[in-house]
Formats: sequence, C-alpha cells, structure tokens
Amino acid sequence: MAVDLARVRSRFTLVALILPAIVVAAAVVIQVLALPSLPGVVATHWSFDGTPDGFSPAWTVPVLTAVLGLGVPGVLFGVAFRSLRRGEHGAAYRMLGAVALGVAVLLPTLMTWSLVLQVGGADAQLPALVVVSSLLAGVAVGAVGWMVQPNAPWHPVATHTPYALPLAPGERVLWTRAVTVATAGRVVLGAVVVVTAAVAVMVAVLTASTWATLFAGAIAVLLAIMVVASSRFHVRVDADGLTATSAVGWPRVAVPVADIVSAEVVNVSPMAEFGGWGLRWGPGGSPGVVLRAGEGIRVRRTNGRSVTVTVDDAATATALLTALAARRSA
Amino acid sequence: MLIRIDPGSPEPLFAQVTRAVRAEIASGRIAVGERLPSAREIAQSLQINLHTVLHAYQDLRDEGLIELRRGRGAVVVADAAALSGLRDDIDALVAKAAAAGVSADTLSALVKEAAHGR
Repeated sequence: MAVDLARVRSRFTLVALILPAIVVAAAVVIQVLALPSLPGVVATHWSFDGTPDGFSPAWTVPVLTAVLGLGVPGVLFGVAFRSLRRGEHGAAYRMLGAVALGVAVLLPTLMTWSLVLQVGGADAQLPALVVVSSLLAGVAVGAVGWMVQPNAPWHPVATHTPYALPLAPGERVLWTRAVTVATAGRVVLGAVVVVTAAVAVMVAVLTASTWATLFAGAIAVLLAIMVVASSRFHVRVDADGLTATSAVGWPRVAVPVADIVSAEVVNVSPMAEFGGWGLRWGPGGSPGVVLRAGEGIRVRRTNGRSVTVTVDDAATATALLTALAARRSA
Repeated sequence: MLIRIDPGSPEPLFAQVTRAVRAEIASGRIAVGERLPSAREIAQSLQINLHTVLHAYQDLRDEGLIELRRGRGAVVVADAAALSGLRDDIDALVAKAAAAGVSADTLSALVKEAAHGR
C-alpha cells in the first residue's frame, strides 16, 4: 500500500502546528480580556494541596502561555518535519504530533483556568479538579490528534539482494567500521539531557526534599552517561559473527554466526522505525544500533528477531555475514 | 576495513595482513587520520599471533602509510592520500597489461624495476 506522504505531512502540520497555535491564541485572548479584572499580582504556583505558594505579575501568565504553548509544539514540529520532508513517516511521527497538540491543550487550559478563577481577587486556591480536567482534556485532544493523522506504518525496504562474498575454505576475515551519531540525533539527545538536568536543578531549588533531588539528579546523570555511551560504536564482522560495541566498551550488541538466518542491507530511519537514535528497541523487541539515517545491516536471527546496525559499507558486511553463515551450515 | 587471510596460502600471514591494509588505504576505504583496529583485536579476530599483526603494522609504518603511537594505536597518515591518488593510474595500467597479455607477476616486476631505477 502506497503511503500518501502529502496527507501525512499536511495532517501532521495541522495537528502539531496549526491547531496548537489556534488553541494558544484563544487562551491568550481570554487571559488578556481577564487582565483588567485581576489583581496586579496573581498566584502562579501551588503546592500539592492546592494552596498557592508562588506569585507573579498577572501579565506574565499570557506571556508564559504563549511561549510554552507555542514553544513545545514548535520544537516537536521542527524535529519531525525535516525528516517527514525527506519522505519518512510512521507511528513515532504520529505520536509526536499527538503529543504536541496534547501539550498545547493541557498547558493553556490549566493556565487560563487558574487565572480566571482569580478574577475579582477571589481565593487563589487551585482545586485538584482543575488540574485533572486539564490533564484529561490534553490527553483526549491528543488522542483526537492521533486519530486525525493517517496510519502510515514504516516498512523498511531491503535496498539490494543479498549475496555471499566468495570465501576460500579456511579463509579468515575481519571487517570493521566505526559509526558516529548523526547531528539530528546529537541535537535531540543533547536537548533531552539538558531538559533532564534542568528538571533536576528545578527539583533541587523548588523542593526541600533531599531524596527527590538525589533521584532527579541520578536520572539526569544516568541519562547523560547513556547518551555519551551510545554516541559512537565500533562494528565488527568476523568468525564471531556481528558485534557492535560502544566506543566506551558498553553497551554491546552481538549476533553469533550460528544464530544468523540471513543478512541484508536496509535503508534505516531511526525516528520512524526506532523512535530515536542510539541503542533502541524497534517493533517486536528487535534491537537496533541506529546512530544515523540511511544504509545499515539487518541480520535475522534464529529466534525470529532481527538486529539492525546503521553503518557505512553495509554491503560488504552483509555479504561477509551471508558467506560466514553459509559456510557454517555447509 | 576488510582483511582476508588464507592460512593455506604460501604467502606469509604478516604479508597477507600488510597487503590487505595497504589495499584498503589505497582504495580510500580508510581515510587519512582514521585509526586502525588494535593489533590485539585483529590477532584475536583472525586467530593469528599478535606478533604477526605487529610485524605487518611495522612494515606499513616503514612504508610511511601509518604511524604507530604508544596508547593511540595505528593511525593512517597524510602520505597515504598520495597512494589513493595513484589508484586510477594503477587500474588503467593493470587493464592495459591484461589486454596486452602481460602477466601480473611480470607487470609487478616491471613496476618494481622502474621504481628502483629512479
């Protein structure tokens, strides 16, 4: 089934950019109309039981609504649209669009509601109902955003028919190649690390809890280590089969020759197929060392799963793996 | 990088490794500044002696193709670029020799003689 790329892109633009802009614009208009009947300083932060514990000038609320409400979907749109224009598609992009719309509903709803509640200098309590309702509205509209976009699963295509490199009996081979994470992956992974670190700092500043700070800090450090560890891999094909080892030694993905059913060159899309860059798990729990888009090795294993590694000169590697597997079973 | 060795061949193993790496550099498949796999890794993968690989690496260093640095391993140096620049001329010469019925051994002997005569 051919994928209607134009429809995928136009619906994604509608869900991730146009609808969020309309929602945010409406929220900002309501907030600005409410400003004259609001006190100069309003509650903008609440503790867990709904008691206000942070206050800001009223005009900052519409500004923040516009910045966050447009910024979050804008970044998600920017990340995805370049790949979509290259012809990629799939569930990960559909999800990005839905999340962008969901966030663009959740934040403005919550901020507008909490502001309107304070009209006339009323009590600044924030009922849990408001938070829960905004959250549900975000999830519900996000789900609609998912459904509005066409279902266009990504099916990777083998780019050429596999062949076996002729090997003499007893001949020994070694093929190695390094692969480094692409700029797109570096930007996204770097942003994730920065955001996690920022959250950890915010937790440290805003809460008095040492445990919460340690927890958030540990997550940020762990994430940074994982991103660094999976930014460069050494790929090797030899008598041991296929091995992809991180430049720092861990993690490592290996397929012994005995487990190889077939090897082929595929055109890989990290976002569409694996939902991101690095060591990822794709459909069916099949691991992939996907550091960039484009050519890669895909090995099918005897257990029914496959292993994908994006690397240059994949044709030589797969031809060797095919020959090694054939020699073993001969 | 691709290295193929055949223990059944009369050519010594170190010479086979040298030839394979030299061919990879000449073809441009290994770029200038790129680091080669460690001698230990190659020895383990190909199930040959570590000293065999070190022998090959020393020969490549003597040819001025790679640099061996303690702790940094073997790195392809700028001079190798000249080698990959010869590629097209070599392909043309080989094709010409084959068309004229000149054997590979004769051709390499002629090239060697010409190179030494300068």
